[in-house]
Amino acid sequence: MITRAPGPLLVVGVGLCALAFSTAHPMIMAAVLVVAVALLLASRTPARGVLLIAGILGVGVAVLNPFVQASGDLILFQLPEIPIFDMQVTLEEVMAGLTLGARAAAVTIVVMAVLALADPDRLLQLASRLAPRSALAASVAARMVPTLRRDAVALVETSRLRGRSPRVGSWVARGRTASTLALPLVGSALERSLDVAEAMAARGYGVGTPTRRPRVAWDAVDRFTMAVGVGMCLVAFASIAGWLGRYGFFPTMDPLIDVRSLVAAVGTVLAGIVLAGAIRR
Amino acid sequence: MIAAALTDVRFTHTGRQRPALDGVSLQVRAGEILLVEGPSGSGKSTLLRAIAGLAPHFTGGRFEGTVHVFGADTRRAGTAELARDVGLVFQDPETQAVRTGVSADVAFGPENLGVAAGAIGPRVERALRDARATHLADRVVTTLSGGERQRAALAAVLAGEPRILLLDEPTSQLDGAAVAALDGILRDQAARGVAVVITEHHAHRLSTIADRIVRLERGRLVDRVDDAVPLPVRVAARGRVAVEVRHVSARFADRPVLRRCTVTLTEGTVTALHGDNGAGKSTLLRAVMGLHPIEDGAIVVDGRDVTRMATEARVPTLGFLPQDAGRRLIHERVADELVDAVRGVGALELDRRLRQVVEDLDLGALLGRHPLDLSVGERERVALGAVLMADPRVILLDEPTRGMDAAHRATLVAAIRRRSADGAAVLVATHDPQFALAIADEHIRIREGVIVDETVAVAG
Repeated sequence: MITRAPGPLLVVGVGLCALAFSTAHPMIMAAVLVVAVALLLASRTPARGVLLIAGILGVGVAVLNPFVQASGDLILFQLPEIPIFDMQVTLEEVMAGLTLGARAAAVTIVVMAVLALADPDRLLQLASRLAPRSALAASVAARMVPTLRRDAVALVETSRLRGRSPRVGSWVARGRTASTLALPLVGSALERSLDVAEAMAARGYGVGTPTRRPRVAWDAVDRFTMAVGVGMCLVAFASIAGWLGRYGFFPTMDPLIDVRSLVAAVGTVLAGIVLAGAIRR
Repeated sequence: MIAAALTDVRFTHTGRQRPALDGVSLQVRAGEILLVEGPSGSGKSTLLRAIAGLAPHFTGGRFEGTVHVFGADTRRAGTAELARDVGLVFQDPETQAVRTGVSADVAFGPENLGVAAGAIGPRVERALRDARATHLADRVVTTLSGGERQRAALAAVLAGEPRILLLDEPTSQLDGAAVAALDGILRDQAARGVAVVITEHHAHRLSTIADRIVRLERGRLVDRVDDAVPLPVRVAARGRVAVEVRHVSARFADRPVLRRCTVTLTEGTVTALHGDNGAGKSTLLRAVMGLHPIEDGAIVVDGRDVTRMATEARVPTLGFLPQDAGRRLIHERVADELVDAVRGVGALELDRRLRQVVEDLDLGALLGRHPLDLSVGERERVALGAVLMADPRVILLDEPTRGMDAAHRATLVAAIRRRSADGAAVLVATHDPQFALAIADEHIRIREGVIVDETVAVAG
């Protein structure tokens, strides 16, 4: 598990998200998506779940978009009429949908990658300057998530050791087995939260005004992350200011390749991959 | 100098009739190591909570008498204020961590106590060093083993620089080497003038460092009696081969944890599996049960290769009590828990088994209770009862004595021996050498995933 200073990662996250929302250029969107996946994989945390959710979200948006937009010159096919929906599918609608889907997936992956990479304790230390009690509650909740997950796994194992598996049988049987485990899981969570509250009280929580240990200094990778993040923010700013040119899908798609966008996309991908490599090392 | 003084302390938990502490008067001096022994439910944990002020401030309940900590009356001083002087390491180190990283968690106490920002780092380093946990500083709490968690929890408490250090069952998850290390840590603390109070079921594991040992029974201090398990070593009676573990290798994440392990379990034989924390004991048992994937080798039960068989299909021939089984109870009544694993058995047979298990494990008084209301040792017995109810021919037990007092360990030994005499093959992973000697016919040792020694213990 890799954990890094949260500040520079937040800047990278903001830069990538701003870039994703600043333009509809498919090439830049693809670049953001590639960097997001590279950062997620660099965290060495299980990525399959995040990629699955982001993929479902992206594909869902891409598939739905042609039926809710009614533009574009190049008609691909015409489906039987259904009220409300536009059943005439054009190339421009499909490309716009794919770009929107890529944006949704990229932003989801960026957020999850930043959360996976950022040291949760330092992240909450940052948050605690704004809302100390909420940050502590979030900290405890974050700590309890892996414990809860382990409890859930343990209860499923208990069930299997008694000859029942929540993964075998009809959906109804699986649901019934899983539901019998929900109550003990809640009970276990409540018990553990009481234990943590007691441990906090025993360690002086609430005795007076707490202090904070000094922030850990950034190392070379953190400084490089910050530099890449600032660079991505600048590219996003350039895009918002229109220096990369506007991209449109309708009525006919703009050319996919132009020099400025190509430079921005390649630069983003290279910087992101080098950053992911540096973090992973 | 008196660090803590309890005078006629009587404490009853909310909703209970019987007091958890019943007229306890006790003094603990600075620099003294006091060991409090006693059976499950005798009030040991409550005694520590009373000194820390958690009883009654956190737990609620009816409190009489007085507890003074360095002169401060715990009824008037809040728990958080007492935390300046008192540090408590709870029985379950898993739930004590508030933060994700070890060093951040160790800093939590000093931060709460308002230690100057610049002094927190050195305190954290010192506490980690004192707890022999410096190597854990950059680790994430959830990735630590049981023994490592115990050290991290101890470091988190030491960072508050308490003048009274309370430890609730600190050796329950530790191997012999870790207990020896803890021994050194506690001696160091006492030498610095810290009063150390330890509660233990297995008093023998720390009795050599104690300046004084007191015994608590049913909430009262009583005269000490030797309650060591008086059981002879058995003579091995080799029967038919029940389980063969053949050259099994397995990994945990990227690390090999089992390396070509070969173990044979025979009917009517109890085998003790020894090994340090992290040696691969639990993984071996879980692999036999099909709960941990194996890379290489085979598991053969009654001559049949079950390597690719699902766990569900291995029961009830195989029965497994995992580590920390008391946290894995499903039902709201102990009686329901016990019968949960039994399939395809008539009412008469079910009743016979239930009576047998209840008698064997002394569960009669617990049948109508909610598992969450039970002590750690009681929950372990219930979980074991649920395993035995299925009448498995092969019984795998992973640290089954956690939280159990001497009397109930003897009960457990008798119950397992009875199953063994009936022909069951038993494999018990344990850190407790006395328990292993009492229960096992054969002893095998695993070190860094390799079975290094296999010998048959023979009674004289």
